[in-house]
Amino acid sequence: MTRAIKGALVECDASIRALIVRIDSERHDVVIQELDETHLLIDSNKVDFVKAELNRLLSKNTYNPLDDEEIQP
Amino acid sequence: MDAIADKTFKTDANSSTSHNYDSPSLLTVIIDTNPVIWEQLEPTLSFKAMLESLTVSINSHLALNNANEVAVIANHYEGAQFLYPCHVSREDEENQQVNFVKTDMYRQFRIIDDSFLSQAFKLFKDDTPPTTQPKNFLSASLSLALAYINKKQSHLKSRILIMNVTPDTHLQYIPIMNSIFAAEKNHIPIDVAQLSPHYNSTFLQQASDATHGVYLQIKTHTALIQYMMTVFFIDLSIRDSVIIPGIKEIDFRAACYVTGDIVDVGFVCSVCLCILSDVSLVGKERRCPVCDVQFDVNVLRKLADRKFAALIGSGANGESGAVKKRKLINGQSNGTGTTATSATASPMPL
Amino acid sequence: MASNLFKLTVNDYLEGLPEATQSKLYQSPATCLAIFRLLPNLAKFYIMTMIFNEKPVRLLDLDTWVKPQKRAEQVEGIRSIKSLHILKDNGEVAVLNPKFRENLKNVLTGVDIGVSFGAPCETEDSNKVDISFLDTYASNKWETILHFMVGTELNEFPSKGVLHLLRHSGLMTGGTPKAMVITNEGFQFLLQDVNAQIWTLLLQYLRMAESLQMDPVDVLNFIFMLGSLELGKDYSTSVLSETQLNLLRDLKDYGLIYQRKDSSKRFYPTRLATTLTSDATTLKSASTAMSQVIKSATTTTTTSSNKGNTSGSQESSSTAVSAASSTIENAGSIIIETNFKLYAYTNSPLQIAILNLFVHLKSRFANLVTGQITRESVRKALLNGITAEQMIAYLETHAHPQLRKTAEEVYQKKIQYDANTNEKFHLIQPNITDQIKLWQLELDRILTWDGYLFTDFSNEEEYQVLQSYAEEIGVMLWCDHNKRKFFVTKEGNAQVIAYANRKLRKGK
Repeated sequence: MTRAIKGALVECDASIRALIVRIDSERHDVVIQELDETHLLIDSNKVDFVKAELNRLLSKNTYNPLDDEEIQP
Repeated sequence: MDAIADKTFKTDANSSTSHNYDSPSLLTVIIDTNPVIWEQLEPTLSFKAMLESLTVSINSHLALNNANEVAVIANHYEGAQFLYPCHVSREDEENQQVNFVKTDMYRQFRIIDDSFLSQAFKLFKDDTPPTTQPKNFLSASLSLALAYINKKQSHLKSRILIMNVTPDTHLQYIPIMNSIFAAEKNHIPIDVAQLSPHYNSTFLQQASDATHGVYLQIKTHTALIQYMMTVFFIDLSIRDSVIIPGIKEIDFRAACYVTGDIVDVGFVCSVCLCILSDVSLVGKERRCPVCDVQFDVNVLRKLADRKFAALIGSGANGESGAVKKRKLINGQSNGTGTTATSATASPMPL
Repeated sequence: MASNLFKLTVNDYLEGLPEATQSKLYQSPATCLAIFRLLPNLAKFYIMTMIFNEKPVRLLDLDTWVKPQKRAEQVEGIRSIKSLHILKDNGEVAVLNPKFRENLKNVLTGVDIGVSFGAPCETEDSNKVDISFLDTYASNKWETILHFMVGTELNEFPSKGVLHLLRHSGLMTGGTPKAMVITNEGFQFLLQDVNAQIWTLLLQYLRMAESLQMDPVDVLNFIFMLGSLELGKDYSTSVLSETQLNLLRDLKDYGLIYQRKDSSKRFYPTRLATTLTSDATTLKSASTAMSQVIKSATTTTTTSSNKGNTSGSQESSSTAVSAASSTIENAGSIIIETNFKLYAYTNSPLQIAILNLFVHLKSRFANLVTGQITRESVRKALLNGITAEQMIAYLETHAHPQLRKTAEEVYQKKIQYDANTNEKFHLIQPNITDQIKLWQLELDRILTWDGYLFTDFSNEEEYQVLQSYAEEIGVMLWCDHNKRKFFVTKEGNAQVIAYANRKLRKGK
């Protein structure tokens, strides 16, 4: 029987998709369906959470010169 | 990712192709004011008519952008001098009764036009016509122009426009070539309007060729303004996009360093590369007149003989002398230091 | 690039005017000159080649001037003069608009211009003001507006007209002056150079003026005339129309015009007005002139405070000399290094406030602020609606001359080494510009849409029918034929479901 599932469609590149799947692997309440290599269906209430989480993960990959300075007095 | 990334970087690519934004430019005009030659030209083109066309084209240059600037230099028979910018003493300003342009003209144009026209007027007013053959100070004018441009170069791109009437004969070869190379190095195009219909200028052809400028001999003087607004109006901002009119055959001949004659066949010193029109010019000392290096007597004799032979040969064939230059080579091979080996027959590119 | 921004907006506005209005504009020689200056370079060249040519020019001849690889520029040039109705063609030959041609010719030859370029006062002003006074006046007025926008504490608010226009143009929101806050557009506005800012406001003013039944031709003529006036001269109000007198009163609030008293019969244009129709370089020198005013004020204070201290007074006198000699050279003030460190030679609170929008500022000295561009600082700006392009453009327009010089030298060397290089000219190191763009991309790394996923279709036909319907009405965002799934937007969902119910019921 045909169904219509409410959610948010996410379009992103493969690496970000992998990150979102990883975020989901810890909580299991984000991703509803994995559609294809660049699309995911996620819980529409979790969009902001995913964005914040992505930002946190990505900023780990960036060198922030200010962090260094704060360590050295 | 690619699809998204492309968007941002593509817009960037588009905008940087339009990098040739409107940067203001400086137009430096060198006017030939040799009165003798202008008198000869009078029937077809008067000095006044030329000034009129020039004024309009200077205004048009200023109209392009209001940060544009001009400088006008007179190549006079007594020396080069600035017509604009020029310090006018208070007294002169008050004494000046003639208004050269209408007072309701756009101020920016009026100030410049008035100043340079009144200076040009003054130049001729208190002049007694020259009694001796007038000298050509083109090299001095070019140096003045280059010095002025150098001062302005930090914020303005520049080009030079030469309004020439005088023939090459009285030109100083070396200073002119030096100015040309200086202009080339600083990316300053030299445009040349050869107003005399009777002769072309060898050196100025080379000047515009080396600096990617325009050289054009204007034969129909009634259309001078149209020439000024098209061929000589290619501003630096559009130099990259416009096809610059050129001449097919450029006269690349050089002048003898000693006699100043333009030579077809010449001799080049292997040390300082100076050009001599005749072997005999090295004199009895057999020294280069410019760098004073000593040449080998045998080579000189051989070259003199060959030249003689070439002249006879060409006379017999009815052709002009072969355009080849012999090179005096000051060889160091056998230790004496002054023995020269015989020259190769390949011409030196000039 | 940034300087072209304002040209584009002004040109867009002019091109959008009806032909009748455009031809009315060409009646004024000053306007013709101003419009001419706003055109693309090649368009200027074409006009000049045709202006003294009595015969029509063949369109093919126009092509022969331009190198084939620059065809795009040519097309753009011709398009712009065509949509301004300056150039008309019948497919074969082209002619210039006769009125435009005649007036521009008159401007160049100085014939028959009248008072188009303003009527200078015949009599001496008993309260004459000099250029430095006008500069201070203009910068005070203008910076008050900008400071008000960034929310600096001010003693007095800009006038009501200014506030109304700021609100009308969407740069700020809020009812009372105290409650007004800057919008995202306002932040973007701050990043533009002064001229672009003035034009943005003037164009808004024009749109407002049209709704107030003011004649746009009158307004534009006046604005273009202002651009051709001479700084430091006084002009008479007697030749102005009623509309233009109204405009004069309004423009005083922006610091474009100085009038000693409202009833005064003479007015002075300020530098803000006289550079209206000029390009980036003069602008920069205009804004430099303003910073110079501030600088000279601080120099005098340092000299007075350092009296007796020889080294101090030497230093300040040398800065005074360099300030005088570098009026034009010292156009920009920002140096940015490849390690994202930024140094700005400025003490203007406004510029510091603007830099603070996207730079992590670290320390401040008497004439210098230092900072660092970081991912966080750029993200903060991006979230404020400022684009990477705008940040880069700001850095480029305010680049220190030394930075510019070095970049040009590097570029020249590249060209000399390989004349056919595809290398572009980079004023700011490419690693900086690319990184800022990448940070912007990071924000767009995921795109999300709320909606419904249609799935578990029992047969191919059912899927086909619904999927093609969703696609037709334009609500489908994604589909996969193999897995028989498609995604529609929230708005389109109800329609698709209604259609599905109709179809499926009919099927049964």
